[in-house]
Amino acid sequence: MSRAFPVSRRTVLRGAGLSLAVPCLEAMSVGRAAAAAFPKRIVVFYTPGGTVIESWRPTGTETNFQMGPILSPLEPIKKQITVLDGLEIQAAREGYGHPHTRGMAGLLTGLPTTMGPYETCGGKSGFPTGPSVDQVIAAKIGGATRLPSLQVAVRWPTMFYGGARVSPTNIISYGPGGAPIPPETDPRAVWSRLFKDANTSPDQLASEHARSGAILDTVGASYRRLAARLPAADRLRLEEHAANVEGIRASIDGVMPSGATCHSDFGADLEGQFASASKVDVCDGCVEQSQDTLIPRTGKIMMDLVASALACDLTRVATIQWADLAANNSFPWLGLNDTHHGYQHDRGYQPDGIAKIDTWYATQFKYFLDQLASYPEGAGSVLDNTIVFWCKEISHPNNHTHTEMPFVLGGGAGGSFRTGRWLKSSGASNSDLLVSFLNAFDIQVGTFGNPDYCKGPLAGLV
Amino acid sequence: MSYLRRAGSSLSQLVSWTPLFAVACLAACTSGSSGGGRSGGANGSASGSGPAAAGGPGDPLSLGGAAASCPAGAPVNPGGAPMRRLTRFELNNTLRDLLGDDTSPANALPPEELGNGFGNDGTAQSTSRLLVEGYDKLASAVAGRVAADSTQIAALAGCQPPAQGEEACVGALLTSFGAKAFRRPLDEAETTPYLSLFKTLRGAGTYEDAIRGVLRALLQAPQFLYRLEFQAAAAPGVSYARLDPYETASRLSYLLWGSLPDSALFTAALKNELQSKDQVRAQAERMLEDPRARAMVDFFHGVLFRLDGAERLQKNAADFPEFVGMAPLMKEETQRFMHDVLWEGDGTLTTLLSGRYSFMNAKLADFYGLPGPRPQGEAFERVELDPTRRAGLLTQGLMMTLLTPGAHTNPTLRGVFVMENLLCVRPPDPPAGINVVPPAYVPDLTTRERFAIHSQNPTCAGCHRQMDPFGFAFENFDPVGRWRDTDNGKPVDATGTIMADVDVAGPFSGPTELAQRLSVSPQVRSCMISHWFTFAQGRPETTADACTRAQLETEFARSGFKIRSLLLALTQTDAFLYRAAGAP
Repeated sequence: MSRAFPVSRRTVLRGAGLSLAVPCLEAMSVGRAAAAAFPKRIVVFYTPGGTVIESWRPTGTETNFQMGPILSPLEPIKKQITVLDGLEIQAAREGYGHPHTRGMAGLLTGLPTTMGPYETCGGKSGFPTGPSVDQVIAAKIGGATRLPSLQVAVRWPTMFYGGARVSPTNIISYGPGGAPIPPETDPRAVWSRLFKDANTSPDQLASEHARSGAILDTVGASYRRLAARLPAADRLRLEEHAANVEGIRASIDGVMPSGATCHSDFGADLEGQFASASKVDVCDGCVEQSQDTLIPRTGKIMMDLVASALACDLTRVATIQWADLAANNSFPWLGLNDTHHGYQHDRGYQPDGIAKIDTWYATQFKYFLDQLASYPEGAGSVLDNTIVFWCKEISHPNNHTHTEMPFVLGGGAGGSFRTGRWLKSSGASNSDLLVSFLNAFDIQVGTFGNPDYCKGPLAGLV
Repeated sequence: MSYLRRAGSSLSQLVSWTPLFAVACLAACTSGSSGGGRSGGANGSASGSGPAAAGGPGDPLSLGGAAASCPAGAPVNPGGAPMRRLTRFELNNTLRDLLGDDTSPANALPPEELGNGFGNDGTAQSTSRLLVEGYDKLASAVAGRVAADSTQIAALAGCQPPAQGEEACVGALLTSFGAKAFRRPLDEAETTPYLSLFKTLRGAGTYEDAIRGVLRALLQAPQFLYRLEFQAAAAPGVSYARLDPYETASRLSYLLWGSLPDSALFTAALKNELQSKDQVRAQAERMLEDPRARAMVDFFHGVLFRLDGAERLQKNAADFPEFVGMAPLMKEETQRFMHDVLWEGDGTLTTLLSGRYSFMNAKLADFYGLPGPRPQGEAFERVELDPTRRAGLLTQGLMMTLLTPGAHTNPTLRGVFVMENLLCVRPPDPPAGINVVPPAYVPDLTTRERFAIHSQNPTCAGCHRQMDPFGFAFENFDPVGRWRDTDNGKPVDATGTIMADVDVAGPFSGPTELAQRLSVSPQVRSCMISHWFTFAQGRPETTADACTRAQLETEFARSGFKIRSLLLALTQTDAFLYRAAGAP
């Protein structure tokens, strides 16, 4: 039997009897007939703490290279990989707080941290003052999908000192004006945001949507009405709230996933415990803690959810944060008896431990790309139309440097970038890369973030 | 200013041979004097300025509070009042008191921005899609629980549809429940949209379904989620207005209970009996007797002393096998001690920071190796402490453990905590380009010996000589809060000299002496006023608050530094009772 889902107003998904074997976008492509291109997507894949650059760096030439030990899991798919070697998070030269934090802020915004109250274990800082690249892209293309963007985290936050709050130590995505965007840490909640309608009959769904629509219309209007009576600063805040309500309202009858073909049914994967730290134990320098042992399972389900969300065109912009920069989580399944930060330097720099951790992350990155590749799209796959940016906030685990950043791009970027390369860009700014991302989404800007640290699109990428 | 002078002079001696490092550190360590640069300008750049013009938002004040004076006859100056959104703590309390929903549903929302530390800082609260979706989900779930029980719906409205008609009951619901949720009566323009919503939903479902929908809308309305204060207009010729009675009621309830006003407060607002300071004070006194006030003080201290979630703290069992299972007991100890001081004992800040007793059960006493007669069972009992070892909150196991990430004590972190949270002095940021890592662990050195590098290395010395000595005083406490006389086999040296420009400066010997000194320090008292002010007003103190501060200082001192009296005093200030009001 196949389940039928209501026709969205944006996607013509004709006929309820779609084959279960046909992924939704392929089905949609039939309906769209001559719709020219498949959607282009971008995913930020963040892992903390720098790497062992000599074990990370490939050998060979730009197009004929061998992955180093850390990236060796990517060897079989290197045609869809661009190893970005030598970039610097130049924006982090300025700002407040610890280099970890300045790197985290500058990573996707190209901006420095501001003065602020947040403990960074090396002075205090505030947030950057402008948006991150993913949010600029979401602002342009996100209106076409159920969620303009999706932020998830696996083990978050791990910052022990200063409590589990939204802080520049744990945020990579920023909205307009630098408003921090926290990630969702509960896979069940992510599923619900994406697929809660998937198991509801069309009739019931139609009535629920009508109902939610009426309620949210009332809510949105209540914010607009009141905002008009308030002084400017307060008014802006209520208007922002109203805009979010209206965005949710607009997405209610947006694209619906088409059941099993879109992997909306995650079944037992969504049961039991997950690694999210915010509501469970605070572990300071521990190993073998229950929430850390849950990281592989939580990471897998988060990657599956994001891949499915992209394949089903429920969103085109996503971030996956494996942890925050405190990296106060351990890897008991790797036999590592300390926290990630412990291997960086809390107990002396231990490159073997770091290399082991990053090799594991490389296998996760590979897994995620494989998931995207498993969704056919036209003659290729979702992976061909996606940019996946694996990034970190510092380069050297012990010295906290922002030069020689170990960045990796996965996916074909819809043909925007030339892949299968080891691109050496010694000393270029990561902001240049951010401009390239924007240009890939037809956002024609010449600089991004602090213009002092941006020279335009990254040379050699296109 | 001697702090800055000291930092500068120690560096100037070194400039000749390490110019680059010294310049870098000089910039970092002295920029407070100009109020700019990388240090954040938090070291008193604004202190000493006079009060700002009445009604103005004022300039940010240094953390350390203020030398600003309040001239006699100064006009009312409430400072700014940025709109606040209920924090998760407040939302949970509000839903509990409004609907009896004690499931703490707001815990599922994304965490607040830290902002002023308490998450109630209007200027730091941002709005994300995730948050707004979370509110809808929360409202939907809470409404669903209410509407599942038709007797509860009837009780909320005080109305039975079969007898009185459905629309009359919805009207009654908005008048009674709606007014509680919005913390003030709804006017017609406010009720009309909910009545139309009811009709729309009723057209497609049952009465209960429609009520559920109306509740879902009400529970995410701006009047419910935000603290709105804009009713009263300024009188001619002044730029401030007294908050209206309902706004005053909410200020009281959210300050003292972290929740919505109770019926006594609503009644007082309705009768306009929150007008005089005495009326406000009488309500505050009544409210402080309520258990909700304890929960609020717990929340405040939970943030200030980082106790929130501390019961879940774990350490590497390989490093500290005895610590397994201890964190909840330590949290209990600290909590019981605080409650005893604040609600049973003399209630003073002095005792909080220097009380020579605590509460332990047998397991915790064994862990500490408490000498002399000790509790025998599971139950916590009051124990008297060795006055040469422990005195007050800071010397309790939990605080020392919380301030020690990892496996080795870190005097810098302990020191910075004392400076920032107790003395309201913000140490400068590390110099740009420096690699901030603690001195590497060396098995045959004491922590004190390892951290000596901080005063020897010129890059570090200027600042670390200010920060680290506070931590040296606590070196007798190991990473999990046990007393130790030796560290890696060598005697602990817990003596030193506080060099920072603070009123507790000077030589010290051991933790209790420093704790004692902090407990009677005017600077610590002033700092505690700053924290409470920030929490109460949801914003940092500014130069506009000179008279408010002067009043708080006076009242706190007059009470012998009772926290409770400070709480009462907080309800009597310009900042609490008024808001700036100009052109809309």
